[in-house]
Amino acid sequence: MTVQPNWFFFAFLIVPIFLDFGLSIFIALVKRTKINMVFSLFSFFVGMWTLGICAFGLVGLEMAYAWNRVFILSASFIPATFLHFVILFNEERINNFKKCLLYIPCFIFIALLVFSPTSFIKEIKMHDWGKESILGSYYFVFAVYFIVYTTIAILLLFLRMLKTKGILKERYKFILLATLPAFTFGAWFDLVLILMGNYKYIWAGPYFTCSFVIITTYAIAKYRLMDIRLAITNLGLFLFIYSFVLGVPFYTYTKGAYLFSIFLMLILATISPFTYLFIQKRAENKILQDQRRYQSTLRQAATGMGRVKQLKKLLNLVVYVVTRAVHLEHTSIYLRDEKDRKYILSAFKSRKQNQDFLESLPFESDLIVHLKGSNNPINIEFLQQRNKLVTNIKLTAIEEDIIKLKGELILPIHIEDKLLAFIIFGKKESGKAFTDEDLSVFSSLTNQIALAIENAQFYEEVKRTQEQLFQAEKMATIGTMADGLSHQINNRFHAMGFIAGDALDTINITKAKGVPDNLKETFDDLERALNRVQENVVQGGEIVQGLLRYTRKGDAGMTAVDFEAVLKSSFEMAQFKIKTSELKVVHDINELMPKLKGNFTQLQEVFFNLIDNAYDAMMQRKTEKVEMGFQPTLTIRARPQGNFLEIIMEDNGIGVKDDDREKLFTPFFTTKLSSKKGTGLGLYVIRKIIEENHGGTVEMSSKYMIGTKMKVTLPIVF
Amino acid sequence: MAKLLIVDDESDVREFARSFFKKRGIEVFLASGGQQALDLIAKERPDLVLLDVRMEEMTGVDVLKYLRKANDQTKVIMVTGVEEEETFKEANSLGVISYIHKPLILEELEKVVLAQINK
Repeated sequence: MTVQPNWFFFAFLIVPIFLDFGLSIFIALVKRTKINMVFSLFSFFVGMWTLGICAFGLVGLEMAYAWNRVFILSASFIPATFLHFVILFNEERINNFKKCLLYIPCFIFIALLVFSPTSFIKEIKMHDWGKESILGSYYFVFAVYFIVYTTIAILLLFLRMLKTKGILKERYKFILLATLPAFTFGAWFDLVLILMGNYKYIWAGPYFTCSFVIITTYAIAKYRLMDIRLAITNLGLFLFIYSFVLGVPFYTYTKGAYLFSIFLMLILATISPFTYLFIQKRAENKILQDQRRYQSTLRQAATGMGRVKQLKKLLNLVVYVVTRAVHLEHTSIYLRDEKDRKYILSAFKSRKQNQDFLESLPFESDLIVHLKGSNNPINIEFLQQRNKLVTNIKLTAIEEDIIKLKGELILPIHIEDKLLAFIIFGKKESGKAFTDEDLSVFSSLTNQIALAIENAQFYEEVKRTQEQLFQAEKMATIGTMADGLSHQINNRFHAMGFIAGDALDTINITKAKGVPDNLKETFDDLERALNRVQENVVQGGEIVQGLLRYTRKGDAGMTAVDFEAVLKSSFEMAQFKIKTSELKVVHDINELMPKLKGNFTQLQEVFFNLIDNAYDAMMQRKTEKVEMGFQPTLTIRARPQGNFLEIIMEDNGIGVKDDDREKLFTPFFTTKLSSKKGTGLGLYVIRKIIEENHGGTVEMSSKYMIGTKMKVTLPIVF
Repeated sequence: MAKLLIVDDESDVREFARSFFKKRGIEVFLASGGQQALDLIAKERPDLVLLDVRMEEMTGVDVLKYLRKANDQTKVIMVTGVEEEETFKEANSLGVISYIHKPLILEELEKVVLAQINK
């Protein structure tokens, strides 16, 4: 065997071989997509080519023929697989026919190499500097094929790169950065120089070529090239650990310590898997530290979400947690609104102050239509990329929608084919792109959010129906009870009134006849007591009547009603209860008043109650506070306002304290002194009659010790 | 002596009303139900009837209806516990003096009753 003087350079090709094959195996193992398999093949042929050159340099003359063919054969596959990869990388379609066309030159070269090897290499000569192949004519054809294919591929890459931006552009840059020098130098040393008759430096090409492995690997790690996760470290670690496991014993073996070597190997082989796992975990933690951190935060938040029963609170929690954990510029959630047929902004969190978000997006908008049919998140960057390359009206419209929403990433939230909501993620504050890892975390997060939202909505719905049911049930029970009960209670009051009345009558008669002095006081006491019983009987009766009005449905009959007639009869009604002569009534009512659309009896009840309330308030002020020249005055104004008649009743009574104002319209609440008559149903009934039965409004404004103003609007008949 | 018939299924009401009106020199008859009331009206021909609307066996309105059917125009005051528009309208159409609500104060009832009896 003749040893070449430059065998050293060939021997060290073992490193590039290792790298080329390593990348090939790695890519093929980690993710078996079509594009990855093609790239893996490409890397494999580069490795084979390197191996061929390495062996050619090291073996004897007879064997050199075979290895020379191996590296030409491998080299012929390099441009084809590379071009194939570029086509796939550019996301262009390639059918089987084109694929065959692409690889035809390779098969032609195989055939030629098998049947007519001498047309490539005439013979191999041995020089003092090494081996030299004398090239045949086909070699030139091969060179042309090689150069044409690689030039096309690189041009395709370059042109596409110009059209892209963002993370995609980075990927293109790296592919070019990795392959351009590899091809240039590889072709220079192993094609151009050979063609020019210089065979001295064929070992140099592979060293340059393998640089693509390093750069590609870096790009995989940083820019998700080939869509591969960060398993790089694992491979590197694996190689490191096992080269140690095998290398150290091998070293000791060469030094002659055979037994020791075996022993050492056993120990290292035993501990190495554990060491590997340990270091791997550490390394992964280190590299994915950031991601891990927010993943665990989000996971924790997701479990907590199910427990939040208030929808509003839940949505706020979601946007807050997501924005904080993922370090986003902003996050917002749009929730489905069945009634208005749109998605409404329900919660948002922004790092910037005063950032406006779109209020709502209708069901018909292109983005919503798209999200309804898709469970996948939309990344605006990729969408914009696609829109730049291909004009698609729909996708462009979706892009516009997303821009309006200030979204970087849109995550649909589905429950059983229904788009419940969607989340808008703003940019990451770091400016980094969303990774596959991110998306898988977000996808499980959105599932959790969907469940939590459904849960909260269900809970709120149940609560609402329960309240409604309870209210309806209460009303029904009161209604049926009130009828029977009021009769019974009224009979008791009635009897009591008669008993007290008769006793009182007896006392009066006795007193008229003349009572002995020692009994006079007793008789007075009895008279007072029985009078109080009678007063209570009357009040009790009023409460019962009020209760009945509260539960009974108003008479549905609506007619054209004259407001002044209502007012007049209300005052007539009031006369039985109050001394209307005590108060000054100011009428400020237009002569030509349009008629109201309403129920006379109900409206009479309303204004009777209002007059009664005003009177009581004014009397209370009169008796409680002694003021000089206080004149109870009730001012009544009525003005048509559009389709409504606006009626204002203003008194200068005691007014309402701020604390009480809100409770006034609730049933059984009264501010009237207990000795006075007050059932606590007046305003409640008024509101019910005006708002529910008539479709009007009633408002109250009041100041303590100044007076109360009631504003009623009622619809006008046309 | 004026005659007053009080129809009510509450014994307390009957008893104390009788006591009250007796003191005013009125002859008071009591009926606890509709049938008894009709019998007494036929027998005693009272000047005025205080008729409770809600009673168990026969309502006040039924009594009134029966009476008017028999072409009896005895003066009747209806006493009711609950405002019922239907009953009110019916009673009115059958010709009643008044339609008054429970609970009543005897002094007030006295005014109404005396006004009718002294006519």
